[in-house]
Amino acid sequence: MPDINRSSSEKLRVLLQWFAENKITYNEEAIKIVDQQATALSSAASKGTAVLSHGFGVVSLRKLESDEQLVVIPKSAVISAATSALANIFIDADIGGNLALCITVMYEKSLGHASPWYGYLQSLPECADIPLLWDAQSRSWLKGTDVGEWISRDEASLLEDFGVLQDLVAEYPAVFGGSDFKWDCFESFVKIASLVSSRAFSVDVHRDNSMVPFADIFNHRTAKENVHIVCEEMVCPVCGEAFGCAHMDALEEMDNHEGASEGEDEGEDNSESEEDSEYDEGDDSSDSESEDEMGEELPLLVNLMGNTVADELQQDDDVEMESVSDEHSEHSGESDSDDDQEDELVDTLEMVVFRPCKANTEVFNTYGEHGSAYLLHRYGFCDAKNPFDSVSLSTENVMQAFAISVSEQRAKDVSTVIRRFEDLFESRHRACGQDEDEEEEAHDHDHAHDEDSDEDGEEDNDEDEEQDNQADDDENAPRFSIDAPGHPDLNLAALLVLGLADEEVFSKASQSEEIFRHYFPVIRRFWAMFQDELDNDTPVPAAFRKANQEGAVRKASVGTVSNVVYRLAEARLQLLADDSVLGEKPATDSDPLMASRWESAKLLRSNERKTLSQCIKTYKKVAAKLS
Amino acid sequence: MTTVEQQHSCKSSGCDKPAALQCPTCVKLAIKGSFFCSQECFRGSWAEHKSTHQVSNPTTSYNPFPTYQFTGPLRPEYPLSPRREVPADIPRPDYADAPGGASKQEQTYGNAQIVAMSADEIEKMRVVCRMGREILDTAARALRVGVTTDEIDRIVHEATIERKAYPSPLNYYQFPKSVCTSVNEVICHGIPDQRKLQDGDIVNIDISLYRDGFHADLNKTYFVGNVDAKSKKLVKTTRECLQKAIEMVKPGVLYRDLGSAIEKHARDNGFSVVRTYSGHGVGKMFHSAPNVPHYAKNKAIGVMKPGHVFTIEPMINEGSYNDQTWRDNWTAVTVDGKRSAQFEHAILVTETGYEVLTCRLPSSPKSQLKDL
Repeated sequence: MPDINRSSSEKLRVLLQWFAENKITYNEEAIKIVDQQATALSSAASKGTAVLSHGFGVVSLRKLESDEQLVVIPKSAVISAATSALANIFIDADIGGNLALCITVMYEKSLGHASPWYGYLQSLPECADIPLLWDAQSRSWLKGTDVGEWISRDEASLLEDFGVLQDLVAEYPAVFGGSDFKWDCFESFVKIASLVSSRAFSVDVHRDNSMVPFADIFNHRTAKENVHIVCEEMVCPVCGEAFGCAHMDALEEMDNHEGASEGEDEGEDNSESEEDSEYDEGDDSSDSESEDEMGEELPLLVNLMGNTVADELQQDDDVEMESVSDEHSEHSGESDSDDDQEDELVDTLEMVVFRPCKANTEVFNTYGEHGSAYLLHRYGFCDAKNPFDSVSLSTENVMQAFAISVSEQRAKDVSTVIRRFEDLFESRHRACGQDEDEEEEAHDHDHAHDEDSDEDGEEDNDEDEEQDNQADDDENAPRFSIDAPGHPDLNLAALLVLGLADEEVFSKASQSEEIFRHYFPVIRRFWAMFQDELDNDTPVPAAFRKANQEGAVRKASVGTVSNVVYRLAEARLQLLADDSVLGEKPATDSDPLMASRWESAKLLRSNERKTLSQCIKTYKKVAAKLS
Repeated sequence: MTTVEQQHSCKSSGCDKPAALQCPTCVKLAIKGSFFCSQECFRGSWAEHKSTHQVSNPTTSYNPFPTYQFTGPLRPEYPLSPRREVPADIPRPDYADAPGGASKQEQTYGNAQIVAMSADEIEKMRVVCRMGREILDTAARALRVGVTTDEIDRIVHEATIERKAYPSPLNYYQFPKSVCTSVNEVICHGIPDQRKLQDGDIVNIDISLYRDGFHADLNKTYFVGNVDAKSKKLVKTTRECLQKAIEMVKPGVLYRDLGSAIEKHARDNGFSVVRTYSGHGVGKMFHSAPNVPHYAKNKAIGVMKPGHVFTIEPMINEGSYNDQTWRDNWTAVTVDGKRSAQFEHAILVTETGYEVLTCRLPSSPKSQLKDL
C-alpha cells in the first residue's frame, strides 16, 4: 500500500509491462520515459517552473521529425466514467464530468492489484501540486490574481462534490464497501481530484474527460510543444464506436423526424457502451434486397455431361469470389477476432510529432492554448512567456462601466442582451479556462486536422465539473478578459461598442435578433483586425482605417470604448496590487515545494501585471488618438 | 443412335438465348429445367434463382460453399427448408418485419443503459423464460442419431407458436430459422439444415422466444449417442463455468468480474474461452445492455443492481479461443476445427442474490451430465 516507498524505477517497470499488456505501443528507438529528476535540467532551461510532483517525463533518443508517430494508445486502455464499471450508477445518481471520473479513478485504486488499471495507477504521483492543495500561506501569494479568485470557489465546490460522493457510497454499500479504502477521507479525495485536474483530457464525445496512460506523461510547454494527440473525437455518443454503429443511423433518423419522441422517451443518457453483443449487429449488410435468402455461393453451370465449362472457370473464379463477398461483406472467411483487432486499432489515440525535437531533450505536449492563470490553476505550473495569457474582468465591473458611462438602465439592458444572445458570449477557453463552447472545440479540432495548421487543438480540454460548480452562481455570466499582449477580448470589445452607443443605435441593435446577430460579428472582426494592426506597431489612425473597411464603427466610438477599457484594466490592476504579499522567497534547499509555489505565484503576478499594464498603455494611446 | 437434343432457352428473365448449361445444384436436387445460356447470365439471375433450391424434404443435399476452407469436418447441408410462417395473430418484435431484420429498438439511446425491471415486468420474464425452458426440453427430447437439425427447428418453431410466441431468432438480422443449432466445432449461431445428427456429436440448442413484450434466451449442449471422453469433459466443464459465474451474481458485483471465474475454471481444465461473443441484457429487447464478456480481465461496463436481467452464456473451446464465420454470415466455428460447447441461462439480480429464470422444471429431462 505505501507507494511512496517503492522506487521510481520499479514503478516504471510495472508501468511499461502494463503498457505491453494493454497494447499501448511506442517507438522505443525514438523516445523513452524517464524520471522527473532527469528532466529537471531541461525544464529549467525553458525558464518555467517545474512541476515537482510529476513522476516522469518523456525524452527523445534521437532527433524527432514532424509527423512521426510516437505512441499508439487503444481507447480501451483509457479510464473514463462512461466506460467504467460504475457507469450505470453514475447515470442513476446523475453524476458526471470530472467528479464521475474522480470516483472512477478512486474506485479502481481501491481495488489495488485487482484493477485492470493497476499497472498504470501505481505509476501516478500521489497528487499534483495544484493551488487547490496549497496551504493558506501559499494561497496568500495568489491574492488579487485570477487563480486567487478561483480557488476560493474551488474549495466550496470540492466540498459539495465530496458530499455527493458520500451519498453515493452510502447508497451502494455493496459496491464501495469491498475494500479498506477510506471513502470518507477528504484529503484522499482532493489528491485524486488534483490528479484528474492535471492529467485528464477529453478523448471524444462519448468518453469525455479521461485518464490516458502514456499521453499524460508528457509535460506541457506553451506554444513550443513537440507533439500533439490525434484521435477520432466524433464518435457515437451512445456507445463510443468510431463509426458504423447503428446508433448513428437511428440518431439521424430521429433528427429527420424532428420531435418524434420515441427515442427520447427511452432516456437521454448515453454513457454505456455495447461492445461485442452476442449477435454481431448487421450494420454492414442488409442494404440489398437480394439478401432475402441465405447466401449460397454461385456455382458453375454444368453441361449435359455434368462437367463444368472449363474456359469460363478461370475468369469467373475471381469475380465470383467478389460478388459473394460483396453480398456478405466483412465476415467471409475471416476471423472475427481479427476484425475486432482492426476495430481496436482504429479506436486509438496517437501521439504524433508536431514540431521537430532535438536528440536527448524532453519531448513536450501541449495542454492547449492556455494562459498562466489557467495553467497554474489546473496543472500547477506556468510558463514564463505566454502568448495566451488572459486576465479576467469581473462581469460586475464591466456592467458597472456601462452604468457609469451611460446609465443604470443601460447596464440592465446590456445584461438582458447578454442573456438573450448567450450563445455569442460563451466563454473562450483562452480567457480563463471555464466553460468551453463545445462547438468551438469541435471547430478547433477541425483546424487541427487541416494539413498546414499550426494551431494545436487536438487536446482541447474540457472543463472540470468542479470548475463548473464553482461558477454555479454566475454560470450564465459571460467571461470577459484582457488577453495578451494587452487587448480586451473580442466579445467584450464588441459589446462595449454597442453598449456604449447612443440610445437610438443601441435599441435598434439590441431589439432585433437579426440586426444584433449581423452586427456583432462584424464589430468583432473590426476589433480583431484593429488589435492585430496595433500589435504590428501600425500607427493608431492607420490601424483604424485598415480595420474599418466594412465601416462597422466610428472613430469616436472606438475612442470611448478605449477609455472604458483602460479604466477597467486599471481597476483590475489595482486588485492585483503589488508583490508585497509574496514576502521572502522560501529557501529552495530546505523547502523546495514552497519555493516552487512561490515562484509560480510570482510568475503569475508578473504575467498578469504585464498584460494589464500593456493594455493600459495601448488603450490610453488609442483613446487619445481617436477622440 | 444420336438423339436430337431438346432445345432449351435460358431461364433468366428477359433472355431467350438457347441454353445448354444447367445449374448443378438443381441437377443435384433433381429440379428440372434450370437451363442458362452462360455463366454471366446465370450470375445475373442468381439472387432470384437460388430460392428455387429451397425444397421441403429434399432427397439429396449439397454444400453451398464448396470453395470455402472449412476448419473442421462439419459441412452445411443445403437446401434450407422454406421459411417457416408465424401466424399473424402472434405479436412480432420490431425486427421481424424490418428491412435487413434490424432492430430499431435496440439501436436507440435507451438501449445503451442497463434497465432495472419492475416486479410486473419480472413476472412476465418468469413466464416467458419458463416457456423457453419447456420448448428447449421438447427439442431435447427429439434429439437422436439421424434427426436433422432442420427437424429440430421445425419442432421448436411449432412448440413456440403453439404458445402464441414468436421465435426470436427468426429474421433477427435476417437469421433464417427459429432456433440456433450448433454442432461440434460450431461455437454458436448454427443454422438448422439437412444434416443428420451423428453418433458422437455434441449439439447446442439455443432457444429464444418473444411473448407479451419480452424475450427469453437459453441454451444447452447435448450429447448425441456415444460421445468421446474429451467432449464429455468439455461439456461438463462448460456447464460448471456457467454455474460458477451464476453463483457470483448479486447487487454490487461488477459485470466485468464474472469472466474471471469462467476463465479460471476453463483453463484449469485445459480449455479456452471464446472472446467474440458475450452475454447480454435480455428483456424488452433481444439484446441490450449490459454486455457480459466471459473471459478474464475484461473491461465490461456496469455494476449489478436488483432488477437487472441478463444472460451468461460461456462458449468454451477444446483448442484455441479464436473463431471464424462461415459464408452464411452466421455460423461461428473454431479456427482449429476442434469442438466447442456452450450453456446459457437468463439471470435476474435480486435484492440479495440471483434467480435463474430459465432453470430446469420438474418436467425437464434428466441432465446428461449427472452420470459423468
